[in-house]
Amino acid sequence: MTTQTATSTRELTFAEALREALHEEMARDERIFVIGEDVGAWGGVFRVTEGLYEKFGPDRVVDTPISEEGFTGLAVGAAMTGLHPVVEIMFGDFITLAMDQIVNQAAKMRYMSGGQAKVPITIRATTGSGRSSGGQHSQTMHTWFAHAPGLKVVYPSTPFDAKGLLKTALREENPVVFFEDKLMYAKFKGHVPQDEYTIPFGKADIKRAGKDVTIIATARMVYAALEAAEKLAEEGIQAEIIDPRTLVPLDKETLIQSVIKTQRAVIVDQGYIDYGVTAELAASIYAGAFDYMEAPIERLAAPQVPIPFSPPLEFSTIPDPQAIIAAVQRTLEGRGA
Amino acid sequence: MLDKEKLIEIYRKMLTIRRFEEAIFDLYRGGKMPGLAHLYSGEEAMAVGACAALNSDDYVTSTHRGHGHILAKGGEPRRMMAEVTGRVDGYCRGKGGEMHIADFSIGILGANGIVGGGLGIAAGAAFSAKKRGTGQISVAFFGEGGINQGIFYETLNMASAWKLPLIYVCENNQYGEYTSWKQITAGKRLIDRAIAMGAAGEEVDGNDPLAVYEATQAAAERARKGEGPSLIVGLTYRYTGHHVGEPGKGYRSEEEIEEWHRRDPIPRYEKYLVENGVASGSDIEEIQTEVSETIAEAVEFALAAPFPELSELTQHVFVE
Amino acid sequence: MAVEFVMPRMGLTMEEGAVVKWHKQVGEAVKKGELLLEIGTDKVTTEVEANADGILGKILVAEGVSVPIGTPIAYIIAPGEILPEAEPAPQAAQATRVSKPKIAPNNSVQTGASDGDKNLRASPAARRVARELNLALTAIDGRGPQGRILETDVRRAWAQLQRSSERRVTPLAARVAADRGIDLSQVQGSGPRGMIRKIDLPIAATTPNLEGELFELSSAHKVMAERMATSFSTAPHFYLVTEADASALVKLRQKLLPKIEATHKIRLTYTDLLAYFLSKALAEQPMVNAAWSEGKLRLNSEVNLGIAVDSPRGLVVPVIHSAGHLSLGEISMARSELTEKARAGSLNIDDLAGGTFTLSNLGAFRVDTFNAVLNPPQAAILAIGRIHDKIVPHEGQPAIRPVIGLSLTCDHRVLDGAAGARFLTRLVELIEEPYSFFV
Repeated sequence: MTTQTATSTRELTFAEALREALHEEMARDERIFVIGEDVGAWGGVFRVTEGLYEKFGPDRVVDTPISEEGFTGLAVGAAMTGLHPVVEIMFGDFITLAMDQIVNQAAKMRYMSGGQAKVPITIRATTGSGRSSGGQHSQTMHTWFAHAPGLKVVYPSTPFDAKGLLKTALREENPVVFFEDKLMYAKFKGHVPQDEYTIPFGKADIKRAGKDVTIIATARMVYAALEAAEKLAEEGIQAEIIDPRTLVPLDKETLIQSVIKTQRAVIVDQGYIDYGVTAELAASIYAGAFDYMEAPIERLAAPQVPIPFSPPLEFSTIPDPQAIIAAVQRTLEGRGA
Repeated sequence: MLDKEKLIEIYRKMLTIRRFEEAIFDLYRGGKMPGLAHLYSGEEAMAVGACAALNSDDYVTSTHRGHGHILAKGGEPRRMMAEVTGRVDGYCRGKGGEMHIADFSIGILGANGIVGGGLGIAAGAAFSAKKRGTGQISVAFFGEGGINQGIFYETLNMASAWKLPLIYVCENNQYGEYTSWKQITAGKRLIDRAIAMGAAGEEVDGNDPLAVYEATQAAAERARKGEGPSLIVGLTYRYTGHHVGEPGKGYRSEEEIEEWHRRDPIPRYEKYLVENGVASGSDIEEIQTEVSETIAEAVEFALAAPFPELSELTQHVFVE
Repeated sequence: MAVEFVMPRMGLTMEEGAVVKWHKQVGEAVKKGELLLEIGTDKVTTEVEANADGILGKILVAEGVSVPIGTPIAYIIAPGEILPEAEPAPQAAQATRVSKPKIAPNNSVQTGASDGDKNLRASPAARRVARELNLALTAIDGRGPQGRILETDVRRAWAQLQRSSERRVTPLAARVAADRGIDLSQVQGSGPRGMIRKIDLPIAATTPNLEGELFELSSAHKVMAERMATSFSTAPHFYLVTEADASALVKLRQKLLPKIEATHKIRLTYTDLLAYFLSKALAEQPMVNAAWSEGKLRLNSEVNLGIAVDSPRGLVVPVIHSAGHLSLGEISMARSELTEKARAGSLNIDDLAGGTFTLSNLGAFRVDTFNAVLNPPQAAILAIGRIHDKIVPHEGQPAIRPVIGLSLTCDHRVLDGAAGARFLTRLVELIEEPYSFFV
């Protein structure tokens, strides 16, 4: 369990934690500027950039036309020439418009130039379904970028993790795609220390220790897992919950060691099931913990359909605590007392 | 107007490009170069004329047909030759290759394998220069094919709205791969697209380096003064097709090719220099010999250079 | 990293050792320095400690099997570690792989992995553990989904096997239990490591014990029994018996007692004196200090005198090495030290090795003379009885004189009667006329 320091903490929402990170890092490093739709004068559609425009001015908080490819490409060029842009993609689904700039340009520039280029760009994009926004506004596309060499991919679950990881991203000299679940911005709260801190990439966090089964969950799914774990504990089943926090670089070792201990794993993520994050994590675990496994790995994710509009249909695509509990019980079948 | 030294330099650079491309042609045909070779032969006036108006620290992005731009901006033939032959002593340690050569030390932000791929980057460099207040400007080279990519309009819109110090140099060599521009391009003039967006636009003879120079010089002044972006469109022609060894020349007529050879920018400029007393016949010869030797040495250097070690494979993905 | 445990070298002359008793089971935790097993040589049984912390991962040599020193006999592994499949085949002809647990009557679990395992549904963990414990999956009952065998199933089967394995029940208890239909898996054993003995069985106490219990012999006892049987049946024994006048011996001892006490702080015994005389006589007649060795005769260069001692573990024969070079006081000290070690059970292999002649003294008991069995490969052994008063002819008149009985056993392959007699005569001379030592 990540221990918080003894210094004072306060409760912040997910958005407030991210906002604080932006304020602090922009004050610290004048190369950083924010660019995206409605981020400046309006303060951001999800309020994450609120207050930055007033504090740092239009030079550092740039409102753009609706040109995802254009302003992402512009940000890539700016990153290559001495600045650190923070691009906001309002709905993560729109990131597809900027794929060339991110995958073919930003991700490959350093390698193709033999190390001459440096591309310190942070691209923030949203994920998550559950508000009847339909198939083009509800997707979780992190795995697309984890698959492209040259990109780091971050996906925090708590305000504490979000702030610490965003600060690290803003100090990174490499392209980072930073995913934020939009349903967590205003409603999900957590303790964040007053004092300065960062969280390194490549370090998973054990959100709950246990011995009977390992549940690996990302972002909002961590909360569903915690709820499921409480119910399971009533039946004497102690689940260990691990949050990878960064998909690239991925802390495989922590996941593998946990499954060696518990011998069973359930992986929960909001992306689509096929070829998704759950598939990659499962493969890594099989590779590292095969001889210790008692059951096949259970994967819970969105089914391979466009996210539907109608609420009962949409909710059925989001893994919930009941589904996690059922998955855990499947892995324990036959174990006996 | 340019002084004598600069005028001769223009000649030297155009010739360097031509000889370089000819050497690549031979290397490629001789099986000594992997991948593809997209040669700039015939378009030299555009790259050299435009770069003559730029400072060393101004930014340039290029295309898949980038040897000309890189040499014009100051790139070294031997390091380029080593790169196209995949050697570790190349600009990009053999990892970029013919379409991705870059020299960040002289503002060359890379040739690019995606058509239009340099447009966003050039706009970003202009944005960065403006924000940092350095007075640098940014030039995006692209073709009449790239001008139809969405990102041209997106960046032109932002550059015009924000008055970025950006120059778009469109080399209309009249063919996007194997399709003639006439069949797929709307509007009377390409520059109208820029003018419609509030930017400046100028059409030039793409085979006249001095015309290209003057248009770029004017655009550079506007940029440095904060008056925003310009689009320069030059009509020109590529002699060796889209890439060396393309299947047949059937999409272009023999007459057309011959016609454009008659308008070869290099002999034309030679004539201009001699007729205007800028350079003598022997000056020309001297330059020709020098250039040939430089290119020959570059080839030798490249072919003797080692390939990268396998350990190079996983390096430079990230800044560690 | 798996730590190899080899048959250790416990003494100068040890070339091979037998695994007498494992004190840990496969799967049990082991600490460095903890007792792991007992090893037997032809002389003595020794306790051996584990050389690493971990878990006893594999036993390669079973109890009762003898292997050359340096042969791997077990592996100690780290928790969670898996051993490679490779098997180091021990050199000794008798050595076999870990003996498979016997199948108890009610248990149908078979042992040893087989090809039939390949088509079974079993979790990776189950397969690994079954491999480690050398269990076949084919007969394990799987309680996972669709009958999949889980690790818990494998461990359950193993535990069952442990409880019902034969070697944890004495043969008598097993027979009685079978006769009376007693389920041994319900019985708690009170013997070593939970071994079930007849007294553990739940049967009425009034049942008379008609037969008497069979006890396992200690390793040392077993060894002695074998050696004596072999010696007696192989070497042709003949016995030369006599009685010597012991008065000079008694006087000699009396005189020497205080002197030896002063110089060596030790109480001189008759055994010491006889040992001293023996060394002299053996040095004079090397044929008696010989050994029969596969059809050849070895004349030993040193006189290494074995002194038979009664110890808590039974008869042991520690050796006073190079007795011919030792003074009486030194011989006395050596004898004392060895006797003490024998009583404490702390004799090591070197103490027992290399003997060329043995002296066996039952003089403390009511034994006048006795004939000893040869201590192979030695050619002779001297047995002496008590010093006691007897009416004997002395200068033509009957007198009461102290006498001592001596019996020299000889290996007729090495010695003939005359050679043996010459030796015995010389010895008697030294006893009756000690000053003839100077001749």
